[in-house]
Amino acid sequence: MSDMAARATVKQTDGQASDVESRIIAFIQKEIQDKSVVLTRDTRRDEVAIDSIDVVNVVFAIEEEFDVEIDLTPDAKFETVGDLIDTLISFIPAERRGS
Amino acid sequence: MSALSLDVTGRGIVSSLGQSVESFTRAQFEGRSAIVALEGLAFSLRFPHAAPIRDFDPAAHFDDRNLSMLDRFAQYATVAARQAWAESGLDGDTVDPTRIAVIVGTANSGIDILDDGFRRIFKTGARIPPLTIPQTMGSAPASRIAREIGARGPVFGITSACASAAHAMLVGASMIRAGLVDVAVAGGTDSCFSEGYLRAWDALRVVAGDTCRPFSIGRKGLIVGEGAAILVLERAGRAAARGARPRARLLGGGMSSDAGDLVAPDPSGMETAIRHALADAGLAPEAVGYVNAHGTGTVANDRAEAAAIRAVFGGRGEQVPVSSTKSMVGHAMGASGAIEAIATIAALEHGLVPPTMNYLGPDPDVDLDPTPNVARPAAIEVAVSNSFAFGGLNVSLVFGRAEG
Repeated sequence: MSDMAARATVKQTDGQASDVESRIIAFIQKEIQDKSVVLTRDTRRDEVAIDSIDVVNVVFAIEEEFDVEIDLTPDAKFETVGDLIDTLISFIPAERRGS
Repeated sequence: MSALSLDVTGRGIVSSLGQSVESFTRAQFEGRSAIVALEGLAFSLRFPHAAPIRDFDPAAHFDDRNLSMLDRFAQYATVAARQAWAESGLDGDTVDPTRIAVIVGTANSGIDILDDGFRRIFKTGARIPPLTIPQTMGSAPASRIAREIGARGPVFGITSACASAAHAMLVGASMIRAGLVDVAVAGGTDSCFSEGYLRAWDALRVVAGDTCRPFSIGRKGLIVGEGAAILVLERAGRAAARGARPRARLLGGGMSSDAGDLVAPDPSGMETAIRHALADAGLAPEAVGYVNAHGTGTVANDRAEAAAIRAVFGGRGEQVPVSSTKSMVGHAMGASGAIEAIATIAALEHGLVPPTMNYLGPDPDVDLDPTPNVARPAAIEVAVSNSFAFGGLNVSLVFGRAEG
C-alpha cells in the first residue's frame, strides 16, 4: 500500500466506516436496540442487548454488502463484539473486503 | 335490548379515506372518494383506478428493527390498534392481561413480503430478507398488537376472505360473552398493492374499469382498496364502572355459509346471516335504522344483497336506508368489515346515514334505498353491518347507539 493510500484509509476510518471492520461495526451498531451504546471490539455481549433478530439482520446486511454467504446461525455464541466481527469477516474473501 | 350486548370503547383506523377515526368520519359524511388513478405502475392492468393508502410513512410509526419484522398489513393493523387502545383508556391496571384477546382478520396475510421475495427468487436471484417467514404469518398483526398492549390471553389471526374482520370481531365478542375474556381487541387488515396481487384481481375480471358504484345502474365491479381497522370490545357495564365512555354497543351477530359457489353470492345465505344477527340481538327488523351494506359494486353482489335486505326488511312500510362505504374507500378485503363497523358506529353517533357515492340512478334489479351521493340525517338507534365473502361466508353485525 502506498503512503497516499494508507493516509486515505486512515482519513476514511476517522468518521465514516471505511475498512471492513468499521463497516461491520456500523451494521451491528445500526441493529442494536439501545442506540446510546457505542460499540467497540471490546464491548461484551452481556453489556449490550443483541438478540437473534439483530444477528440475522446483521448477517443479511453483510451478505448484501459484500455479496457473500455467511453460514452463521442466529444463536451463534460470541463473547465480545470483536469475536462476532472476526467470525463475520472470516466469511468474506480477502478481495472483497475493500470498499 | 340484548342482555348480551358489549361496549365498543376503542376504535382505530388506517384507511385510504383517513388515518384517524375523526378524519375518516368527516370524509365519509362529506362523501369524499379515495378512489384515484393508479400511477407509476411498471406493469399494465385492465383497471386504471383504485383506492390505495397514501401518506402512510412506516418510519413515522416503527424503527428499522421493527420494520424488519412487520409487513405492511401488520403495520396498518398495529397503527390502528394503537389508536383504538388509546381511545379505550385501558392499560395493564384496568384489565387483567390474561383476560385480553386479540383477534385480527386478514384475507391476504403478508403478501407484500411474499411478492417481493418471490420476485427476488425467481427474477433477480437476490437474497430474501431473513425475517420473511414471520412477516408472512397471518397471525403476525395479532402477535404484534398483543406485544404492544401486553395482551396475554387468546391471540390469533382469522381468515375468511372479505368477511375476515367481521368474523374476528364476532369471535372476540363471543369470547367475552362466553366468559373467556373481559376485553377483545379485534378487527381486520390487508395490504393490497403488490404487483402480484393487483394482477391476480385483474385476472379475475371483476374490478371496475371506472369506479365503484354500489347498487347503481351502470355499476361495473369493485375497486381495490386496503387498510386496517380495530375495535376494542368490552363486557357491558365494564366501561361505565371504570369511567370510560362507550362509543357504541355491539348488540349481536350472525354468521352463515352459502355452502355453494366459490364466487357467486347466494341471497339466502346473506339473509340467514342478517336474520341470525337480529335474533342474536333480540331485535325485530323494524328496530334497524340503517344498513351498512357489503356493497362491493359488482353486479352479482349488489343484486343478491339487495334481495337479502328486501327479504328481511321488506315487510316494513318504509325502506331501511342502506349505503356502501366501498363507494369511497374501495374494497379493503379482510379489513373491510372493521372499516365499515367504524363507518356504522359513526352513523349511530352522528345521526347521519353515510352516502353511497358515484350513484348514477336506480337499477331495476336493486330495489332498495341506497342513500345516493349525499349523507342524510336520521335518528338511528340500531344499525346492521354486512360482510359477505367469496366462498359464501357471511357475517352480519348489529350495532347500537351508545346509551347516554
